[in-house]
Amino acid sequence: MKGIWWKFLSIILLVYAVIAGFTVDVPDTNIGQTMRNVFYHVGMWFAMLAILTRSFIASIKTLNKSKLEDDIDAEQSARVGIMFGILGIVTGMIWASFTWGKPWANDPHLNGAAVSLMIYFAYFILRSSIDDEHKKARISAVYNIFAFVLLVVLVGVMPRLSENTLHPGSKDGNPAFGDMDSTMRYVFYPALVGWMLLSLWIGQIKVTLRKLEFFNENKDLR
Amino acid sequence: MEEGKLFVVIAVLSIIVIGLGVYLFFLDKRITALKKRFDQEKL
Repeated sequence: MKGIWWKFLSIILLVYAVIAGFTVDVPDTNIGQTMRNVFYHVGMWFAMLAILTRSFIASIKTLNKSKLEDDIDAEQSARVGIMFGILGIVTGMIWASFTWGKPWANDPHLNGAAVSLMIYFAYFILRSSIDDEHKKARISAVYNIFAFVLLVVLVGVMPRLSENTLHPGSKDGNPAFGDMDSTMRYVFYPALVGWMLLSLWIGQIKVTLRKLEFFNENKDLR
Repeated sequence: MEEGKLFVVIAVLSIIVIGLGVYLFFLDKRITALKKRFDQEKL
């Protein structure tokens, strides 16, 4: 994305998410005030999905055009995606400690998220095992495309098919788009957009920085 | 009293988010300028 308007928008939406997230009235349920965590915890997963989608598109471009710039884009975006994924797991664990009594319940949502992150960790191990830059770009692009498809299946599809889950929104669709309180939605949706834009922004900075480093170190590959 | 304490948390978190935004803006600006210089050298 070009311009700076979306960067401003990201910060405005996140400041709104902090202010409204703590002051909006939440329904009186058995999880109490911890429900406010939904504005931040779910935001981490959407941010991860947004930046990993960028990584996925960059990998398709790498295979299409064989340009190292696209490979750098895919790699750095995946790094930022993993960072948001770890934040999603940590915020979820803190929340689970209060609501389910333990940080890691044996739940398909949690296990799917953990396996997806491991698949992405393997992406970096694969990259580090290949020396030739063009070969590395092509092989890791193929792997990254499969990793993204698996992420969608493991985080978005499989947990919803499961009958034994503590996580909300498994049988009746996503609670964010279904039975969430209407007042909360005024905070939830802007928060999601804010987090997604922030992840794309950090990704853009990381990609530009790595391209500068890489082509400065490898002047022959420019 | 409880309400007042909550606003302190909101203010602190808002300042952190704004601070992070300002930091990212400056970082973005510097890196974009560097990239422009690098692209000119390439030509």
